[in-house]
Amino acid sequence: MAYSMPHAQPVPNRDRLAVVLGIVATILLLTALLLMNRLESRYAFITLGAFVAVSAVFLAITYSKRPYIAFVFPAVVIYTMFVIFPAGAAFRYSLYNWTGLGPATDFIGFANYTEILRDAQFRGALWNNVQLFLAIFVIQNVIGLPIALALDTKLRGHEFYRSALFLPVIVSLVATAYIWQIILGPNIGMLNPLLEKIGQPDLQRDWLANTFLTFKLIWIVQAWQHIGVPIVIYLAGLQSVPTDLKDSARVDGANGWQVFKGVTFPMLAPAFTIVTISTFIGMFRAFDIPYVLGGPGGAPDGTTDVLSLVIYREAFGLGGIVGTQYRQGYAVAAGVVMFAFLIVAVSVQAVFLRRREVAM
Amino acid sequence: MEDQHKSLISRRSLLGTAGVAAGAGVAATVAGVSAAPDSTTPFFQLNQEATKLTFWGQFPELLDPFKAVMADFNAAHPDVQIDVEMTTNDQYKTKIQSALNVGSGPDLYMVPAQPEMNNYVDAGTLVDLTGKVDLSQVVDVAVDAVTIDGKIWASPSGRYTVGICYHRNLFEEAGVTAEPTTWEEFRAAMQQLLDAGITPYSIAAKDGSLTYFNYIGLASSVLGAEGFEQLLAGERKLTDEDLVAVVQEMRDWVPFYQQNFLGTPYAEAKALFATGKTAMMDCGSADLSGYYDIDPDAQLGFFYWPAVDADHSQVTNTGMSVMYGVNPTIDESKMDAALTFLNWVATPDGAQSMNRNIKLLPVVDGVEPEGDPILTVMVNSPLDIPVWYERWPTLNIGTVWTTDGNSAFDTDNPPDEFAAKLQASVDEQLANTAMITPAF
Repeated sequence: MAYSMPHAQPVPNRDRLAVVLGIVATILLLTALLLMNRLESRYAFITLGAFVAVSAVFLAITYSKRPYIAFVFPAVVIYTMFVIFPAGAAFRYSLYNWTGLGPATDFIGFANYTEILRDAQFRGALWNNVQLFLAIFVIQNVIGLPIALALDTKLRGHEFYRSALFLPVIVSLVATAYIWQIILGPNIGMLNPLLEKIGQPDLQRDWLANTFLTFKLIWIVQAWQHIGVPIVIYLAGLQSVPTDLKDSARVDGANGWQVFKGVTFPMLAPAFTIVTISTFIGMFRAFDIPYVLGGPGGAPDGTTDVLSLVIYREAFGLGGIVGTQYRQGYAVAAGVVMFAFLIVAVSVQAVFLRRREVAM
Repeated sequence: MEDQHKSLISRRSLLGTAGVAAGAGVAATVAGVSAAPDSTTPFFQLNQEATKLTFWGQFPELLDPFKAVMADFNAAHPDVQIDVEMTTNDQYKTKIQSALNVGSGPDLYMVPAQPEMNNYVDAGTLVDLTGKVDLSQVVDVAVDAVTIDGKIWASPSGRYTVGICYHRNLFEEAGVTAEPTTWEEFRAAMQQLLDAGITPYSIAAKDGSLTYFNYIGLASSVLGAEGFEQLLAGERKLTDEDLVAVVQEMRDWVPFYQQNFLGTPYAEAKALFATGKTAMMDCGSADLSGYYDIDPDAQLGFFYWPAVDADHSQVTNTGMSVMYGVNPTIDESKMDAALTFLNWVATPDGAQSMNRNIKLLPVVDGVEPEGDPILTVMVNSPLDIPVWYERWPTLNIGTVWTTDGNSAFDTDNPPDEFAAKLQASVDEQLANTAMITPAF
């Protein structure tokens, strides 16, 4: 295409100016956020105004050669404002002995982090999160995948079943927890009277105060709440498996199990990756259901404690009934550790599962 | 092509010019807005008939009673109106902290008791009221509660006392004719109730709330005032034999608690007692109005924590429940109105209003609690010891009961193991004294 113009050639000065303006805009944005963080609102907004002005010039200069920057720029700014900067600020707070009130002034370095490493309740909660993930992972694949396979056969009423199974996903987590509390509760619960009615009084338990059972019940409630998601993901994966591949396998004499093992399951590898990683993240973020069913202290005796509960308890206390100490600096440090753990664990999973996808 | 190029230049120029204009506009507007209040405030004030203040508290269930208090105040001071906003207990601290940290929030707010109050003072989120409020009529324990480093930081207007509430009709039904005064009498009374087919005691172990109060009540009866001071000084230990006996005593009461008490949260335990399904429950003065709301004909009685034996005194535990503080970001023009209110609540009129509407025990000398005779019984406690969470060394005892409280009732573990956990929390607090405000 004969599109030659003097301005189409690189203009080094303009590029240099763009780089300088980009750097100035970044500095102005970070300065504005820092000023906001220090409640210097007037100076923060003035700096923000300067940032908008410099950014506009920057975008005007870069638009002709790199128009994509104009499209990416707003997202980068928003991401910086609401993710990168708060994460950096959180890390700063984690280095202080801070109650959450007023400015953080008592700098203690990495003392919060070293305490976390020694903290038995943190380790116990982390192990509970791991158990929760493993349990839900198994339930989703042992129960969720066969259900998805069944629904994929377009059995009679499959649309109803699909909707019914997905319904708990859209129910609020807190509502779910209260529904189950009404079922399992020691005084208002329906399960114990039901067991009595059906002549099984020996099976009655204090379901929410049993150091062995309560956390397992939380697994079940979590699974009940979330199982619709893997079913839908697997179903989508199944619908993308070419029918002719399965037919070819059958023509070659493969039985149903062999078709599943040799054709369907390998083709589901991307769905498996998504389900595994989203379950991992979801189970490490679990809060509402353990909070309602186990209470803020992870009752009984910390057996239902999860990382989010530990962080909440340290940051905001126990609800004010019995008095408590607020350690938001410590809570933020625990949050940072959890974040780092998730980044590493999810990255390892992603690499492993991607390799598995390729291998299959 | 030339046209396209011109068009490109034009769009770019337009984008740049618009951006610069927008940036300048944002800066100029904000600078202008920031300066605006000074010029508009006098006009705004001229149009106000009464100074309006905002107040945040943490008892949604007491919203109407608090509004009634504000109405009493407004009747005495028509030039000041106070809007009340309540948030649930577990959300309140998050909300007020977030607001105070960014320099906003209400004019007046409910301040937590010490030692948490120190955090608010250290953070500069309370106005120093020294010399601005007259607390000369307020009882010493309440003045102490709002004094840090010799300065006054809030106006106290209500305290609560915790002991045991009971249904008098259920006691009569079981033939319990006298209120128990010792542990032994208490056990006997509970056995009588049980024999009569009545569940003797409502307790919440799931969140550790009522087991905690039970523990501090019984342990206070062992310690007495002097022993409690020794505990705070590290001279007494919760692992001492007579205090380990408290954990054992609570275990001995298990047959008298409602079924499945380990899984029962506070609200359910309270509901069981309020509806007469149990005969007794740990109970504070602030709980009474809630019980009468559920059953206006409830025949409630109250007695002090039973003494370990006849040689010891019965006790109650008392804490501060309502203390009004001033947000430093309050508009200067509202300060006088805020101080008028804070001074009013520290007068007999204010104390009576708080007592009449919110059923809190008055903190003003000579003001007898009105209404329910139970409040008078509470005020006349033979020995009153602070609730333990208002003292730094014992602050986290409640946390142990919440996170590990069920093990107190695990018969596989000796009671001294749980007592050791409680003492460990005290030791940790005593070791951390240097990290907190010099007031401790």
